[in-house]
Amino acid sequence: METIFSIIVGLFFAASIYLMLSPQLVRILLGVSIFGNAVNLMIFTAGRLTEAVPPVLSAAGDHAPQPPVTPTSPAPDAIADQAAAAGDAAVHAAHTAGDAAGAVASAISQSNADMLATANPLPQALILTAIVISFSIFAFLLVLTFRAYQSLDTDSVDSMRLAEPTPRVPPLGY
Amino acid sequence: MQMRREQVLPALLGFIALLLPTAAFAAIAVPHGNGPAMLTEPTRYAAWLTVAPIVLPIIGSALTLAFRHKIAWQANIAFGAMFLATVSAVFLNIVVLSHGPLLLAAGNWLPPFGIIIAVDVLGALLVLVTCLVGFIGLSYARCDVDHEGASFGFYTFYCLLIAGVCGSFATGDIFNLYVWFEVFLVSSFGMIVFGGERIQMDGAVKYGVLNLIATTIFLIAVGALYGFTGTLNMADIRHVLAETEGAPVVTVGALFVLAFAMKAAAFPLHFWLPASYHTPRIVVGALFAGLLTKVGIYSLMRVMIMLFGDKGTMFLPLIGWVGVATAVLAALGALAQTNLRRLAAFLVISGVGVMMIGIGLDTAEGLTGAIVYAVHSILVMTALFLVIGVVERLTGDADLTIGSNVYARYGLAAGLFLIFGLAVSGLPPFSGFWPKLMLVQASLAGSGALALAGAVGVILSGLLTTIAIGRAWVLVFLRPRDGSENGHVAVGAPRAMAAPLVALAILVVALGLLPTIVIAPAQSGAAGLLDPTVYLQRVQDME
Repeated sequence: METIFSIIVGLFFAASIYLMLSPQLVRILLGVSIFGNAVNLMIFTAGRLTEAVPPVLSAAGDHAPQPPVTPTSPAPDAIADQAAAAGDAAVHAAHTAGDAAGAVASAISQSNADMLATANPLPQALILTAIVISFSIFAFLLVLTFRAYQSLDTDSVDSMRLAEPTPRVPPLGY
Repeated sequence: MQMRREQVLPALLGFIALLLPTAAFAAIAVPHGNGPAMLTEPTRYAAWLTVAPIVLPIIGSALTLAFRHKIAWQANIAFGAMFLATVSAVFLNIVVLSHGPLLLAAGNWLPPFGIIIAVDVLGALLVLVTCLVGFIGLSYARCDVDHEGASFGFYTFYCLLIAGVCGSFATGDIFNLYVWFEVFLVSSFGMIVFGGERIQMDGAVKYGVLNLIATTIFLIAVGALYGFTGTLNMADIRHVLAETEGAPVVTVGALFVLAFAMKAAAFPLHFWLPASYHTPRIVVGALFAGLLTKVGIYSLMRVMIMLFGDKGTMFLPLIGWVGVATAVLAALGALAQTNLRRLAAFLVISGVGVMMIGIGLDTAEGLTGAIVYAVHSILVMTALFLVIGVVERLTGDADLTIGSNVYARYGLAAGLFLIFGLAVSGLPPFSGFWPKLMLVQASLAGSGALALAGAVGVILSGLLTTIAIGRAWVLVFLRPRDGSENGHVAVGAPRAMAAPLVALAILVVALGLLPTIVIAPAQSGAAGLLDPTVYLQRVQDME
């Protein structure tokens, strides 16, 4: 799941960089918007993606989380297997990331595997903040671009040269 | 839609570059100890000082909004808020200098879970200078911003900008730093379009888009950093990074350097600054020139030196070389300008380069020089922009192609320009001399190509700046009017405008004559960055 999302994030970044390099302001803004979304998706993915696991852990942290009470939920065994698999994957990823992260990951014993089966809620809180901020700034930039289009009569950054200096040479002597 | 090669290639590179970290960081979490999550005893009164310079301007801006129909009150409310903020910043400095870093757990939530506001000596020093410049700039804005301007919420944005900058200097949490970046970014958007002239739309589009991209890159770095450290608290990050090796550290470090260099307008990423800083009202330009690039430099110091510790040293030569290029090339750029505002904008960038040289030297002396230069640069760049504003008001233009004979007609303005200009160049007895001297000494004490290039860069940029300032002085201030006016009307400057400028001039000369009042805290700030044991201990005690 994370792999697929990583590729999607990469595609988002590629599309946004492509759009931001175009001379039309509207495309640049679309690129900026996709850029922001790519970042949010990246942080979301980095916080682990899990399916149908309740976000509440037991106090001891030594048994698998209870499955949600829905008819379609898998059996507790399946959840535990899934949790163990996710734990292994995390330990493996941590080893590749570095010694210290590996040490930390080995500290996460198998009994903590249920913790790794649950998505980390903090990145989700972070992107909630980031979404609000980037949305408001995007709204501002949209209005700004429209005003700039109205007053400068162009949406191409190549012809937005009003703030650039006019070539005039000051006297060479005094 | 036609595919363009120059767009496709970077897009592919971006895809590959950003795909890798996402895959590497997914699904790693670091559990934390089972200590208490919340403080139960009440916060000490002294700890409230850490947030006072942030909260007071926010209250001021809220009040200006609440009383938006009382136009006459606006400036006074902002003035009162900024005055109280400055006073609280003075007390904050006294406490921090005598007792070391001061912490406040926001909402009483303890560090790994909650955000802490942590002010060390460096943070306190920069908060004080920010409040001081905010207060002085406001006295100028009172004369410059008219009735209509006040009714469009100028003072609301002004206070929020100061709050955002102070917050960036005061926070002890990396995501919170991002939030403060956005706070002052949004306020600066409001201020840069203030007045709504055509040229401002042009400048604001470039400023807005590029700064938003820089901040978003910063967010990528923060997200990735959390991905493999599992914490956002600066002290915790320092602990975890000290024991982490490998590719993620390099990737995240490079992203931080990119984001902060863009914010600070370092050499290959500086193009947005001279394209936009000369377009808004001069008070706005002055505040931006003084404060915003310094936030980038401060973040570079805080993250690359304090958080990354030993791992940051691999980026320091890069920062140093970029600094050399920025310092020299921007000074050359200043020589090529005819508009005084644009000339001053290039001098801002040149100063950024000088500070980056100090960071890149990787010694306590170099870092101290960079911090002293940051304080000097905040004061003097604001002052230079403000005095250019006065010249524009007095003569209608401030351009090298138009002689204005300012010296003969308005001696005070001409004298102030010369003081601030020579202070930027780094000539004694003004404030710029000491940090440049310290940086050259620190460079010569080191060995290697960068040390030599650093010394040459600082001296050469100083020389070129002196030439640029001297040229402006001769062509604008001494040359009699030659009838080639632009058609701008001289609106005249009220006498009260002299007060903030004279106050800044006194500060600049005082720092030149008594440099120890800044060098002493800067030394302790640099020591605190290089060896933050006390800071880390304070955070640990809190946990």
